[in-house]
Amino acid sequence: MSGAGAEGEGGEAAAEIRRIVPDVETLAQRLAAVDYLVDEGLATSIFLSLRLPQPLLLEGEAGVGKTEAALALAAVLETPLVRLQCYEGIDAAEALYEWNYPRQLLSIRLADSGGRSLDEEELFGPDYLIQRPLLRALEHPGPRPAVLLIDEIDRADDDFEAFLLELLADAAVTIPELGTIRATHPPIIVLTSNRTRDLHDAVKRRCLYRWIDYPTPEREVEIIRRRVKGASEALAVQVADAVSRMRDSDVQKPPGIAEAIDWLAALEVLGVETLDAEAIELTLGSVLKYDEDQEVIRAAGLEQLVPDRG
Amino acid sequence: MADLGAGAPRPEFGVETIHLDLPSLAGALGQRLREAGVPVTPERSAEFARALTLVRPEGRRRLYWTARSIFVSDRSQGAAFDAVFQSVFGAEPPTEAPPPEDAETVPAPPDQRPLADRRSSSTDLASEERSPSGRLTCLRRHLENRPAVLPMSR
Repeated sequence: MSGAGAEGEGGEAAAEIRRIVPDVETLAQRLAAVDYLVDEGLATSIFLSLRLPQPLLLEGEAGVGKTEAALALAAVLETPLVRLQCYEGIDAAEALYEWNYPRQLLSIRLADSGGRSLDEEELFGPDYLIQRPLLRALEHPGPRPAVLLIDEIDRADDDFEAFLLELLADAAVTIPELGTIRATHPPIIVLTSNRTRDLHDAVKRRCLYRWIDYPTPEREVEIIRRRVKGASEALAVQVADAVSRMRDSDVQKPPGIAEAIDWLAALEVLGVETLDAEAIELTLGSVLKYDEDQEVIRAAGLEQLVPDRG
Repeated sequence: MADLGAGAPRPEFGVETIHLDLPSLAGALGQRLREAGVPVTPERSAEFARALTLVRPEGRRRLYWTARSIFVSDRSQGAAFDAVFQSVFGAEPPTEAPPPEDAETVPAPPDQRPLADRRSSSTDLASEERSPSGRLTCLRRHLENRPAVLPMSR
């Protein structure tokens, strides 16, 4: 299963990761140090993904912190994050590499006008290659592997999924003009999916899987207070509570953690000390980005978002 | 996530036990999960054995998360996994998330027949179920006597 078997336990990359992440607790501590809080389940999944190694597939609603997991991981490992944002119709040229066609043409023109001849080998050499994210991740020189984030893979087509799997299993790619490029430090791979469609079984077979839920209100308070320095706990508790009520409502795009952070920051800037209907009305746009969703919440009554006091 | 109990002593007993019982534990758990409808390949079972040597679970909770990380490959399988884990290790799984209400596939119901009746449906279920002195039973007993895992804030 682990495509990096050739690296073995003694490989430089594996040794580096063992050093930084000797056990689950240390990983959780290091992630918390970069303000990414994990529960024991997610910590165990990330740990195993790093140490087996095996790609990690994170599924969950938009805004629960899937992408941030990869960002935090790259920060912990002090290694570049290479992000491939998937979309409908994405293909190998956009994901892997393509030839710099305009530059090739220009070079031919220049050579012609100067009476020189250009051979094909030169034109299809590294100078004319545009590296896209997958190739960049494969060619990362180490000492620690890059973190390759394949974001929202559910938005790509089936064909692309198959292409991706092959590439990831081999940690190598063949460019006809250049030969095979094999990763010396196969990347750490994190895939995310918003579950807009079911992924291919082969993807799931190859990955460790983890469903990420919205954090509990207690944890969300902890998270947003880390990000909005100086915000009072009382206000953060009210925000987390109101956001959780919004998620349970009929809005089209339930607020994620980022929206909770934005909201708390907006309230903080306005000097709001206690959340009430008036303060919510002033700042609703920072937590619900769609007019329709704001209307849904207004219609239900803004005071519904604030627990009874007294 | 301040104090993760770095200073807490690491009991050696559990580690030794798990080392001895790796193949049978991984095999038996995989088999039971398959019977409950969770697709488990032999590679996954082998990976579970490796995962145990990496994580060295010192209690049931850590064992639970290790097994779940390896064997569950879709959120619809969570309930079936929990039922099997509970039947094998006799522990309430430390579920973090409520079962999904809008899962797109329905997990197979847990096998609730008594153990004796189940033998017929399993091809090569490890012998520990038949013999009370089997290694899985042993491990299970050991785990029950283990202290709780290190505290970890949620």
